[in-house]
Amino acid sequence: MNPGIIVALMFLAVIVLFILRTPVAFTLGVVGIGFLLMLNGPRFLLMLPPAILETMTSIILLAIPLFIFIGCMLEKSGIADEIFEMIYKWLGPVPGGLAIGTVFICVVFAAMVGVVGAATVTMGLIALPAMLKRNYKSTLAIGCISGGGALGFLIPPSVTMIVYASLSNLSIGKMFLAGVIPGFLLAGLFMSYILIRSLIDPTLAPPIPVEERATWAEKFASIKNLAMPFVLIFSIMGTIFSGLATPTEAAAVGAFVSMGIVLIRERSGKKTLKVVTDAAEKTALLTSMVLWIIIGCLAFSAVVNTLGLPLMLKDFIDSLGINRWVVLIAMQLSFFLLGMVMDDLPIIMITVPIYVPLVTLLGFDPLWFGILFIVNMQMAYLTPPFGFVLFYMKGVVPPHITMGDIYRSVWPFIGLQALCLLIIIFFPQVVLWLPSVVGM
Amino acid sequence: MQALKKLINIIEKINLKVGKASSYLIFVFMTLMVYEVISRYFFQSPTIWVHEICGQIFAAYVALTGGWVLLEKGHVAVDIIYQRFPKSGKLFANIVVSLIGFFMFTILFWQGYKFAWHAVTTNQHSHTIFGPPMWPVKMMIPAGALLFLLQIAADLAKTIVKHQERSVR
Repeated sequence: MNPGIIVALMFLAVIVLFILRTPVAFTLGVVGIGFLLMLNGPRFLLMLPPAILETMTSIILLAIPLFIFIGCMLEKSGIADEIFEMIYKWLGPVPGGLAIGTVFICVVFAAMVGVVGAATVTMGLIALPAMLKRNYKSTLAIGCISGGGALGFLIPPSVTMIVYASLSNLSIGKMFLAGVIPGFLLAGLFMSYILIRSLIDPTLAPPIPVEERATWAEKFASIKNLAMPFVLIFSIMGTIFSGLATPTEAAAVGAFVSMGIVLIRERSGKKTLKVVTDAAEKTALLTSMVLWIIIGCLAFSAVVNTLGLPLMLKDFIDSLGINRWVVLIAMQLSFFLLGMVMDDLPIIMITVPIYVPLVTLLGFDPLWFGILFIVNMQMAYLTPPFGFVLFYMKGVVPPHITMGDIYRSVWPFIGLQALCLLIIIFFPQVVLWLPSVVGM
Repeated sequence: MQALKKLINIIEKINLKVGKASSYLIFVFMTLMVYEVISRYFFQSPTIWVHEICGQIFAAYVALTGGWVLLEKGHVAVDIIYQRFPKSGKLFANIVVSLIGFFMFTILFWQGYKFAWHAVTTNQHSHTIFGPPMWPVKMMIPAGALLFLLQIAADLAKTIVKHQERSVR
């Protein structure tokens, strides 16, 4: 049978199973096993257990639960309240200041936490009511939390990056470094956009009244609220980038520090124990979900590999004389469309086995492509109608704000993410410069 | 019917207990990793065993929590279309998903068991300086698959019980 038809059938099977609400792990596993049986015979099932064992004992993937654990701890730690208090004192008098500050807090969170949910959830609970109370336009308030929360994908550490890097055999440390400049660039774009719009139209995000402003002494006293986050960021990122420890070891150190932070804040062993055990259970549920998707994908990608699909597609593209940039742009569009209906992990699993070898054959840098992928996933996080953040926001906003208002509020931020994507496409140095100068 | 409900209950209790207990393994590998960093940098004596043991614990952590995640409906699925199905469509979809799960995890159990049993009979050890026996970690694959199979059976039984009760009424 023509390999092209086989792949088309595989994707058809995946779509049918997705419609029936089959868990992603089962879908990929069953389609992979089914086609492996049909094409290669039962003998080939022997290759599954060793591959599964390699995945389940992977020290690289072991970083995933540790980073998720840090996120669960910090969500409960009250650190976000403290930083927000500082932001309020420093940036409250500036038009749009609280929204700019919210993006700043999202950056700090993104640098501590590997999952995107934590920043979105905490900012939705703390920053959103505060901004609405200060008469910020709801569209701006919702938009900055949604856009800022998604920065967690791009600013290291990032679980999505770990999964991408391990599936495409890239160095996690390099991938993390590659995300740093684009991450700050995007945060800068968000902040400038908010500032410019608020300066043009101060009713959008009015400065707080003069009598409520903090004195300089209060402002400086509040800087200490940044101490604990910076200890944590330094203990994770410093150890990875200096080459002192592997990302997994750094994550373990960070997890210990995060427990210490909660203990210091709660000042009660009993309460801390409750937070810690809750976090451990939530972490196991998330990690197991992620790992079983990867395990399911092993069979799926084994079939794709035995068919030699990427090489075939490359020949096909060459024979049609299509420019490689057209292929790249078509891939970006497919990410965007898939992102409207799926989460980041299923998209990684079904596209990476085909796309990454293909872009490498076409002469693109897989690391650079990885960051393009991550920026796309940020957009997917926000894109109506099914972006995760939209439903979350609907849950925390006051009832008079409709889903339509929420949809409207995210578009400018999706536009800025698209701008960032274009900058990365035209200036690959933005991604590749930092990993090339920091030797690890 | 009562016996079936009791059975469902027992399976769910097993998966809940095993899953929660395994979730605390995170503290074991977290501590071991920190120990490794400290002994390497402060005492210049890296261990030969921490990474390998952590990998094996991670295998148990992942394998033994899978069934619990299924119980808690934590395995992500695309449910935007399913939500619009009529009741009969949902019933059909649930049964198909259960059958698919049975197929996949029966194969994983069977292949994983052969793989692990080979390690037991040949007394296989890892090819590292540390060289721990391989059978305990290899057994995790069939063990995890078994927990999945139990939970899939319980979910299927629940679907059927719910359907029957509704049609009786």
